[in-house]
Amino acid sequence: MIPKYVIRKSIFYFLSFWFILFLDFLIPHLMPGNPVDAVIGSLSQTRSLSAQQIEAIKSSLGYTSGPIYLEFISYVKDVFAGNFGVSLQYFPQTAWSVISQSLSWTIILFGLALIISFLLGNSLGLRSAHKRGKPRDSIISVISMFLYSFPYFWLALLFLFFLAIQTHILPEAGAFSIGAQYLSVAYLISVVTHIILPLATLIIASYGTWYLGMRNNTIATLNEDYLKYAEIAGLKRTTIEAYSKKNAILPNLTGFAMSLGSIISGGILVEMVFSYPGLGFDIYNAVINEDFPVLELAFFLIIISVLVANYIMDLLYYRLDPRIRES
Amino acid sequence: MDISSAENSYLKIRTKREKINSYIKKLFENKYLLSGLSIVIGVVVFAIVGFFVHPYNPYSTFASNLPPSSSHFLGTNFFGNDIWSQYLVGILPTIEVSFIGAILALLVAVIMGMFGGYYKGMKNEVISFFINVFILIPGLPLAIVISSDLEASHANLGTLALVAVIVITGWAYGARTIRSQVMSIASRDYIRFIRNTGESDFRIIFSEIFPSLLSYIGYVFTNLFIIAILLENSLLFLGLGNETIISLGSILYFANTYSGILLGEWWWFIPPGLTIAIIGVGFGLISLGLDTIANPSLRVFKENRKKDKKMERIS
Repeated sequence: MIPKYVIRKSIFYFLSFWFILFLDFLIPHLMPGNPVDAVIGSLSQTRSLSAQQIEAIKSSLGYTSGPIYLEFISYVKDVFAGNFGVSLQYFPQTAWSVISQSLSWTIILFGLALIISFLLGNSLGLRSAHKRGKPRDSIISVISMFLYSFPYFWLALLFLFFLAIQTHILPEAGAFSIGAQYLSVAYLISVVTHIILPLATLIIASYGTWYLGMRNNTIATLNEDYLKYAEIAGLKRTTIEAYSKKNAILPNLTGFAMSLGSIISGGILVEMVFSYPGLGFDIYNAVINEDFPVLELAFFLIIISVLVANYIMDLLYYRLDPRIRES
Repeated sequence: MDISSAENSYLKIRTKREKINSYIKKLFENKYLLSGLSIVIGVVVFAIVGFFVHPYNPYSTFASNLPPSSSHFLGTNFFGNDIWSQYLVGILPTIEVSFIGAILALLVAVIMGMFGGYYKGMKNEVISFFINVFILIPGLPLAIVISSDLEASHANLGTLALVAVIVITGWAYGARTIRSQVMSIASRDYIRFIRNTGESDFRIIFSEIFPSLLSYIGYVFTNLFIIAILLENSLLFLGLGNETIISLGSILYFANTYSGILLGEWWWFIPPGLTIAIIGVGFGLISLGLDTIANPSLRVFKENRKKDKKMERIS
């Protein structure tokens, strides 16, 4: 039999998917004026469009003739058929072909940032909780708070300015050296040097959520009777740390949604500042060129990956935490 | 009945005064809170003074791209505007937009959080669903989609649009924090008791639960303000928003777009970014301070809840 928790979560993510799909469809419709007419107006200034093409652009943005529920149905059909329309800035290309080229870079950058900020934030949070009230904890707490509330795009600008433009220690833009042959040693080295600055910015911008969550959870765990007893019984500090870690890290996994969100939000700006050819850079280009199909597709992909990642995380959480399985 | 209610109100006043006194004492003992508050007040005073007193009209033009000198403290930008004057004028609007956005987001968060936490069953499920969905949606991408649609429809809403975007993307975080807090308060004995006497839900929520939430609401507000100021300036930096209004974000946008950074003009983009960072840190310290005040009570609630469960199991 499927447990109740799993059913509840499955229903939640299923409904969320439809709600977000509806939201994605609704946002342009709620705007005062009509963004589609504006887009077609600016597009037809540079090239002549046939009536068929105008219709295709309209339907790709969720606008067809007829009542709004029919528009929504045709929008859903398009989404499930993988038909996200044509890019307006690279006109004959489809939105999907524009974005698919940059997905791999984003997956590498965001994935590494997610893993490293998870490890860094949790281990610092654990240490900090054990040294609660001592100067070291206060210093790390203040620094983390400082970085958590720091405008990360400005941090990226500082890195770019001081480490790349002024001193040329690291490259300024792109994801690899253009001259290097694909998959040669020089190419791989250039990939590493290009990723350092965006990655460092992203980690600094996003480890704070893990850190604060882990610190608070560990403090709560340390207040439990069994760990107080362990302390009184004179167990080694490392042993107590190991005991508290297990129980503190599980509730912290529920912070996954927030952390993933902050990496995605930060990543868009970081990719823009460092001209890193990923999804965020596509979004930036789509914004300045008013390329709505690309923008909507990027948003849709982000939402889907967030939903899937969180669903997996919730199921994993169920497997890992016996407290949930029993309740 | 008159006597008992008079007695009640007397007791309430006494305990309230004591509460307030100990609360104020706690506030002044709290180093994080004090330093955070002084930073924020300092910046706000600086912003107000700068908004009215600055050397040049921020729109008047001189020679472009001048380095800092005695007549132009931070040089001039690509258009020849005096950067120091622009910077002084720009701080207040930045704080204003974030402040209004954070207050409105807080309002939505408190209402949704209180009702979501108090009610059980279907009402709770529906409110929780919306809170959880909006927490899942990453803030900046949603804000970008909304604001670029607004830009394209040439609806020149400017500041209003920024505020709306802040509210839409920010409220869920606050609602979740408040909701979980209300849930733990609502399960306590005295609330159950009042409920059983037939008191209306609205009265319980607003006159019994709301007062014990105040430190949490302060905590949520500071965090919403941090979210708001980062979001506002990120959008302006991307060029989404009204760049004709001088603010820290629009100065950064122009510094980035007109290659102030590539040309090494640090005086163009360091002061505005640093100011945003200082405001953020000030609110961050306040949030850290409020967290240390609010958290001991959280532990008390948790213990009570556990005891409740134990009692239920025994009986």
